[in-house]
Amino acid sequence: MRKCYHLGQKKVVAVDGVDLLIEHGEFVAIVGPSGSGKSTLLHLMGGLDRPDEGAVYVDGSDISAMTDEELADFRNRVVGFVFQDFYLQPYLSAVENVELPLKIRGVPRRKRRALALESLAAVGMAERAAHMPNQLSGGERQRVAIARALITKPRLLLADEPTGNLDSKTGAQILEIIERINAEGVTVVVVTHDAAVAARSRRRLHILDGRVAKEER
Amino acid sequence: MRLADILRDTLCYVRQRPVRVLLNLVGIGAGAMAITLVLALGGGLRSFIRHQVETIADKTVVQVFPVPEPPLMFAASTIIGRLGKPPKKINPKRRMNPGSFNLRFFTEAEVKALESLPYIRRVIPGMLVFAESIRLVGSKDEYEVISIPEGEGFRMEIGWGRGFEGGEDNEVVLASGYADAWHMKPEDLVGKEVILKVRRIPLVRRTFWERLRQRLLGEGQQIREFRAKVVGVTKPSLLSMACFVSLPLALKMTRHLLGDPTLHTAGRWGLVAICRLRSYDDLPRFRKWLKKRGFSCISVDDRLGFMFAIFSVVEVGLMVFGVVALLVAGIGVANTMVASVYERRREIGVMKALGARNRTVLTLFSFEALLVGALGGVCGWAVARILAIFGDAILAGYILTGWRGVEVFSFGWWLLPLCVLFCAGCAFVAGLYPAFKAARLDPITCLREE
Repeated sequence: MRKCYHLGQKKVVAVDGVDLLIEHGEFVAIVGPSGSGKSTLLHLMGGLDRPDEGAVYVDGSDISAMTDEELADFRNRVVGFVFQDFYLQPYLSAVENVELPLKIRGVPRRKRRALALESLAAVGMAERAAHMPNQLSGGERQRVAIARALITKPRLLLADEPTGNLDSKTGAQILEIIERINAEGVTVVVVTHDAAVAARSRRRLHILDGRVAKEER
Repeated sequence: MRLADILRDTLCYVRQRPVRVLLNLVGIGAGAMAITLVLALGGGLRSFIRHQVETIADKTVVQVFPVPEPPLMFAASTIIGRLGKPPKKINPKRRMNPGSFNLRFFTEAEVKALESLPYIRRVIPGMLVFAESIRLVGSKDEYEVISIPEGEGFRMEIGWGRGFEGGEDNEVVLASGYADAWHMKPEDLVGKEVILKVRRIPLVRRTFWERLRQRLLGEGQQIREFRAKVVGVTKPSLLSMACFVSLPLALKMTRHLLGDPTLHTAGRWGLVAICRLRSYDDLPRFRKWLKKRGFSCISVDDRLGFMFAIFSVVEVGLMVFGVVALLVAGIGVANTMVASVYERRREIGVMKALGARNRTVLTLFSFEALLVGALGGVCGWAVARILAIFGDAILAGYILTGWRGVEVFSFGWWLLPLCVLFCAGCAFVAGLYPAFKAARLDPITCLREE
């Protein structure tokens, strides 16, 4: 798989000939320095981006050949994203943020509210459901973001530096939640440059200049 | 996404950015207000004028001219701009000139033909009584006047004194506006004497030599004063500066005005025939008959039509103003929506990452524009409604003082939905480009730029 970007006149190869197979239920950490292409690889896996060459198969489907609409449905139903900056909608409460993927899918309000509260309870945030994002700490926001990723019961959880903006203690709590999700059978891919985070995964892929430089199990 | 969720999200977003939304509402509202006012004024003023004019004029009375084209300006100049206004003091040196017209005298045969029509109740010669001014005997102050000959179809509702009784005396019935102007009680005005000043005016189109001769001999400058007794005063009406003139006086005034002492004698029947129809419904076939004969006529409808034609020009101008205002507001909406798309790139990126389709984002932004447009329409309508109430009150209190039941703005039930739909449509069109722009945004680009 290959993916290039153009920064002005300059062509940047973000992912350069990566050939990778991730089994169902795995917990994979993608590690590497900044600009090595690890986030791009994650975006390609999650259908947020398309490769220039090669293909991405998830559950046997070539997502790189999907139309925009099919890809949107794929992101909504199959994948759960967790970002370093949480990306909660500032004008929605915690529970409204969590139910957003189901709202996009068109699930009735009452049903999605119940699922959202369930999802918030799973990450220990049930009592903060009515709070707005600016009333929550960093760790709490990330829990809400995880609850949002989980509400659709995804088969694949993609986390991009999920502890990057958190202190070590809160980061450890978030990792525990992610490990628990993985234990429930969800495939987890975490992008990180934190060795402690990578150490908790069962498989580590070291990315350098867009290539898989080393793989550890 | 469900429509209810789209609406809830849009309202939520609107609540979050009140200043931006308010500015958009002001822009749209201004355009909506202008258009609403024009439409309300258009419908209301027409029905108001029609109603008011019909209260003072008899629809069955028609002025007939023995020429193919009626002198509409002649008919209109006696009314337009002077209805409902109190009589004002004028400069005695002022000279009124209604222009010259292509008129000719009716022949006896033509008058007989008119009289023989089954739907004509009565035919009388029309008088041309352009009095320049009126003043009370013993006073030097001259006042403007609309002099109306007896039987010309204008309603003369006597409030004090009496009407004309067919005598040979010079008699007038004055509008109650003169009692106000002369600081008298209307009943005290009855029995007083007034002087009507009539200047000889070359109304009929003349040859160059006739014009030269009249100019050299100063015929066009001859002024004559007619003394008349006030026998009655009308109730307050739209014809607030009317002076109804008895037929004998009207004949004298007309003869002087046209410089023709033989007028209304054998062979000089008149320039205008006042025909009273048995029914207003007979007017169309009477018009046909006149057209076939090469005649023309002016009815109340024609006078109204002339006034509406002038009003239409103003209406178009106001409408253009409203549309331009709405266009500018639309550009404003597009501008703020584009800014909103840039500001909400992260939100759009997150929505797309969570599975929002392009058309979901397109719908969200379009709906926002639609909602702002609709709200702007409601606000504009509401402001226009309030302004119209004030406008009617000001018109009734200060400008159209002699008019009864002043309500020139007509707010039909259809105006609000029309205004809301139109503004929502304009805002929707204005918001299309930003909405498409938002829908096409790449989620990665949005999230990465953050």
